[in-house]
Formats: sequence, C-alpha cells, structure tokens
Amino acid sequence: MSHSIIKLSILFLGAVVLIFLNRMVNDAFAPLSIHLSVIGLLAIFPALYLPLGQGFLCVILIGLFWDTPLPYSALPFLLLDFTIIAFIKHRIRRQDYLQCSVIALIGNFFILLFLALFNSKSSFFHFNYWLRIFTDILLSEIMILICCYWFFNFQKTLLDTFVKNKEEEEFL
Amino acid sequence: MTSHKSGHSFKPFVVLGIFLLVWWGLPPVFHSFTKVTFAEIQAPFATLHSHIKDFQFYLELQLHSKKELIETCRDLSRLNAYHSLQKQENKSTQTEIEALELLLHLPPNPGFRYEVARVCFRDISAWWQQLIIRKGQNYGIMPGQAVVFGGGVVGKIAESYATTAVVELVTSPNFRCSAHFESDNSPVIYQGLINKPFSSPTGYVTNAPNKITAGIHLVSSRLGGIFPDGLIIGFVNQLQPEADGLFQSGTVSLDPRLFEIQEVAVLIPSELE
Repeated sequence: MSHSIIKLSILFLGAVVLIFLNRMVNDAFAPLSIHLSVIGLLAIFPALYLPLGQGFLCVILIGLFWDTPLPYSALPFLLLDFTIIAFIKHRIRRQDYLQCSVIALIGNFFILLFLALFNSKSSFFHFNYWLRIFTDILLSEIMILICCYWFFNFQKTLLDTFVKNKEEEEFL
Repeated sequence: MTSHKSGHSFKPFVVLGIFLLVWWGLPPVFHSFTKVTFAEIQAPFATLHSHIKDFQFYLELQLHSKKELIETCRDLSRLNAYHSLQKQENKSTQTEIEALELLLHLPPNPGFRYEVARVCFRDISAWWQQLIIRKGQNYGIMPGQAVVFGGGVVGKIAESYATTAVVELVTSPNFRCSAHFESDNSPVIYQGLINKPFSSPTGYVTNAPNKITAGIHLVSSRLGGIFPDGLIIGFVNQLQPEADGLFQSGTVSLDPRLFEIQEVAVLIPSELE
C-alpha cells in the first residue's frame, strides 16, 4: 500500500476520533442548549500532508462521516475550506501549529456562518436564532483553541508512527 | 489556468467545481445509500458510548450508601403499589371504552406497544434537535413513530437504521404536530422553537381559540395519527391574539428534562405487530 493511502487512512481515522469526541462533548452540553462544532480542524491536515486528489478524497470521507446523523450537509463547505487551504498550501508552514490554529479558527467561523445562512429558512430574521448561532460559534472557537494543539500533535504522532519514510513525506 | 509567478495553482478550485457538479447531479438514491452506509458504520460507536455512559451511571450508583438504597426501595414500592392500582383502573376504563365503541359502532382506538430505548447521543443545535437511540429496525422502530418519556412527548422517529434510530425532538424548529388544550378539544398547531443558549426548551402554539386563557397544559392529539391523545407537550405561559383576531398564539414551556433525557419509549402501533 502506498504511503499516501496509509496517510489518507490515518488522517481519516484521526478525524473520526475528533468527530466522536465532539459528539460526546455536545451530548454532555445538551442540557445547556449549546452546540459546539470543530469542523474547521478537519480539513487542515489532509490539505497540508496529502496530494490534492487524495486530500480531496479524505475530506469527502470525513464530510460524509460528519454529515451522517445530521439533517443538513456540511460537506460542500468543508470541501471549500479544504480547497482554500490547498490553494494557499505553499504559504503555510505545517510545523507551525499557531498558523494552523488561526486557519482552523477562520475556517470554522466561516463554515458555521455559511451553514447558519443556508439553513436559516424562516428563522433568518429571528433575534434568538442569531444569538444562538453566535454563542455556538464563539464557544466552538474557544473549544478549537483548547483542543487544536492536542489534535495536531495527535495526527502528527500517528503519521510519524505509521508512515515510515519521512523523507518522502517532506517532499510532498 | 495556473499562475506560475505566484506559485498558486487553481487546480483545487477546478477539482471542487467538478466534484460539486457531479455530487449534486447524482441521483438521490446514491446520497441515501452513502448516508445509510455511514450511519451503519457509526452505529457501533454510538452504542459503545451509550454503554460507557450506563457503566458510569452504575459506578455512580455504587457510591450511594445502603441507607439511601433502602429509602429508594421503600419509595419505589409505594410507587409500584400506586401504579398497580392505576393499572386496575385503566383496565376497567378500557373495558368501558370497548363497550361504548361497540354500542356506538365507533372504530377502535389504535393501540401501541412501548419499546424502551436508551439514548446514545443528544444533539441540540440551532438547526436540528435530535437524539440517537440504541434501538432501530431490529425492534420494529420505523420513521414517523411517536417517542415519549415520563414527562410526556419527546418527539418522533426521523430515521431508523438497523440498530439505531434518530429521534427528532419536540423542541426542534422543524417539528410540527396537532395538539389540543387540556380542557378543550379544539385542534391547535404546535411547533418547536429555536431556544436561546443556556435556557429551557420552548415551543410555539398557533390557532388557539379565543376562549382559552394562558396557564394551561398543551397535550397531544390523535388527529395527526402519530401520538395517542392526552400526552403532555408543555405548559402554555402566554397567549396573544393573532393578526386575524379569530385565534391566539403563544409560547409553550417544555419539560426541561427533555435535554437531559437518558431513556425514552417508542410507541409502535399494534397494527404493525
């Protein structure tokens, strides 16, 4: 099996772990009527560590996994986030987790904002809707700040453990 | 197409455009196939999470003293005695109803079987409010069936998979059902509302007759064909006249336990058995 396929599988599994942790947090916070989303973290590593085609496939799988229990689809927005990161890939230092965190925060904010705009339907002019959306976004961004370093290190450790040829990885 | 000077390639956008065109052009059967496939892949994880929660609860119970346990058993035995009396009363009422149905040539009320299921995940967002439960088609649970708990209506089954099911909560903005007030049989429309963060769940009632005043329970109606009659939906705090002046509308306070729920019962119609 080629290194890219192994990397694709590792990054997908890493994302699956994060998605389940996110769901567990949402389950715990349900009585408070808040919903946190870390979708902005999911597209960064596939965009930075995989070639375009495989990164795209990885994000499609992650998006489908994310969307499964939900009535609405976030896949197009996640793919757009991935595309933008892939487009500016050459300007990003992937070892610089601070830069990656800022990208994740911006990506997350816009994905949630687009989801809010597209799914607002008749609630668009309701104050409570936007109050809820912006509270959720704010708390999601805080959650990303808390867990991004762990998640980047987790994915990097998985890659370092399972992908033997690191030199080849550097050339990608 | 490619800007070599800046080092940027527009290839990612081209790939995205092609993919989205193909994705949106695919027949719905493909989308539902992928959704069902991924849902079945995720089901064991959801079940595992639910079992872990149950185990945590079990460990939590271990911390209680024997004295507390004895007190709880005493309270439970009182409740059991009360419920067995209620059961006898229900039986005689049921016999009376059947006799009246026969006498008046009325069609019989639909019966239900209660299927109790544990909650795996609760998902309370601004766009959807749903629960994932640990039982699915393996227990005869199908989309559209009513879901209840001790406090009244929980919602209805939105999707059903092999071993799990998704329950759309009564608080969800997309949830609508027919209802009536406790003291009045006129049908009204209930709809879920987006609730503010850190607040209790609320709903909205429309088409309420003018004679009704606030401070009354809203209960389910069998008109929609989903819920049996008389299950509590919520408490109507306030009613205001609608624009036409013929009806009233207002907010409904729902049971705050809805967002903390750990176990529900799915009402499976007897005709499906």
